[in-house]
Amino acid sequence: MTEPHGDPQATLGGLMTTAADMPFPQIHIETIRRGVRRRRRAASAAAVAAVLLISGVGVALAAQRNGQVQGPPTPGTGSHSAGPAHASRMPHFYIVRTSTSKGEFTTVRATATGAAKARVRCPVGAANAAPWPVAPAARQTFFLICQVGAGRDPSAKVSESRVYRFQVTSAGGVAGYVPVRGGTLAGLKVQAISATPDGSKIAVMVYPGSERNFSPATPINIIVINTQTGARATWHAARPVPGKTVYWPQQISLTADGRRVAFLTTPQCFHAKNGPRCAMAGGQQVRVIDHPATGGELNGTRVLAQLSSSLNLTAASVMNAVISPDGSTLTLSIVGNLAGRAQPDTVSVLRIPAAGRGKHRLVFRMVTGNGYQYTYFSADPSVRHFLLGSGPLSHMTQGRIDDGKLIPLKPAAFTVISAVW
Amino acid sequence: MSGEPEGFAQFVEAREQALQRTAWLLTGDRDLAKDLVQTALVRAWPRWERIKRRDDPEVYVRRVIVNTWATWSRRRWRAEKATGTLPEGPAPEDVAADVAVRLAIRGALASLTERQRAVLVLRVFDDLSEAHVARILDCAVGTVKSTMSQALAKLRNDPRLADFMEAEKR
Repeated sequence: MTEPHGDPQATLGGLMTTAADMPFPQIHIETIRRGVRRRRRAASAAAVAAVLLISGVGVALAAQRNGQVQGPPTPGTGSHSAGPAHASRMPHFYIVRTSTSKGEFTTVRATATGAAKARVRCPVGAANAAPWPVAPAARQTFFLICQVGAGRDPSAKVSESRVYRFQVTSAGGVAGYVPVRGGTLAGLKVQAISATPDGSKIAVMVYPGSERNFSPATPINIIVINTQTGARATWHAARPVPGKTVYWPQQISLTADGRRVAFLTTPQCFHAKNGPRCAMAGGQQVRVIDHPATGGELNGTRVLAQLSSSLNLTAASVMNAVISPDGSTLTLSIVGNLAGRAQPDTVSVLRIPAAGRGKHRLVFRMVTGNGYQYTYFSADPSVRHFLLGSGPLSHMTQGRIDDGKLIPLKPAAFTVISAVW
Repeated sequence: MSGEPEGFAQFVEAREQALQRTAWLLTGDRDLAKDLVQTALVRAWPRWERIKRRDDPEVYVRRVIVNTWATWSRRRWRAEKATGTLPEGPAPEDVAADVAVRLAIRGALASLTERQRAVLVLRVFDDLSEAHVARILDCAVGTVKSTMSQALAKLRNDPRLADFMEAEKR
């Protein structure tokens, strides 16, 4: 500063220096290189688009003259609004649920920088409505569950859950919430949600709102909602009757056409107090609901993949299974050791054919040593890009899987409950 | 990556923290500051050789930071506001007094217009000459002087800064 001490300008300069004197996250040259590459790609894509637009206008004019003009695809009619090229692009934003000393928050963050862009809130009047879980559809559209609790405690009983749709803008803001038809679920808590890319169908895993916490002894139903008509179909889980094997869903996912709902399940068999233990056949499996709109019993659904047959799960567990948009493959997140040995533990993401035969493809593998931490796994609508919260016991990372590596994302992993994109 | 300009990586390594401090004073948000500096560096990359020949690269990058921030401010007015109270807590080495100064400065700067804030940050914090600030903001030196005096007048009466200003004087 050139001014003498005591001058307001100098004083202000000192205060500004103190205020800004904090460590900032380091900007690496590699991040800038990636940004430059993206910018160049965008510039060349824009040039190609301009050429196509100009030639397209000519073709359209010619077609119009010949009476061949076709309207845009109608959403929800089976021709998905997001084409394959669009769907496979890495999402620009992710939605993350965090828990801190100040409470739980749902936030939109930029994939490239991790910067927080907007807070996701429940549009319902109740102050104790929790905005989670969230499911992605194409074009930065998301489905949000607002669970109206009986108290501020996140584990409080829930009086009802409501489903909303919202759009994340190109700047990362939240552009309004639209109530989903058929999306008011009275007296129910929602454990998970999945949506088709065009948003025409959603599936939710629900259990009674009177349960304070999710219990492994609570049957979970699946409700499939047609968001255009509001029609709902419920798939009931069998009651825990002694001696009966039940298949309660742990994770759900929909194919792009909404005609199949796949769910990961571990068969369970309950026995009466002092009664004989019941025999239970088979280990973890993925089952599929083939005609979701009809409703029915989850116990009667088809086994899509008997995971314990195609994988060595003696020392490993499948934590999540996501069906691909066309239903041909399953992407699994697995903890433990797939070689069957007790150690070292690993966290893996594996893609397997839904039909059971064919090659397995290892998408990601992290050796965690003795033990592991795992919080969540999430796939984008194209099931090509993944988020994972996991790591060894000493430290956990939450990030995106890119070319076999886990690239950390903000915020710090220990605050993250779950994330989707 | 092919075509990386000579000296660019060294510049990023040497100056990124300082640039982020300036960006934080402009935006009042650490994440946004990082975003802003990254964007400015990405934009500066293709012109780096030319900038080095004609200009001081840092002045150029600061100009891009200020202009990009002005564009973002204009563009983002309709978007949901980036959350200022995210649960990330203070920086690890913060002490209470620094946090108090930080909050006061952030609040006081937020009460200024964009141009006043830019002039103040570049002139007072970055210690650039009036001519330099005028070049960055693409305006006359006289405009810098008058904007600066308006900003100082406004801050002199800001109750958030009153105690700190007195303490500094003592």
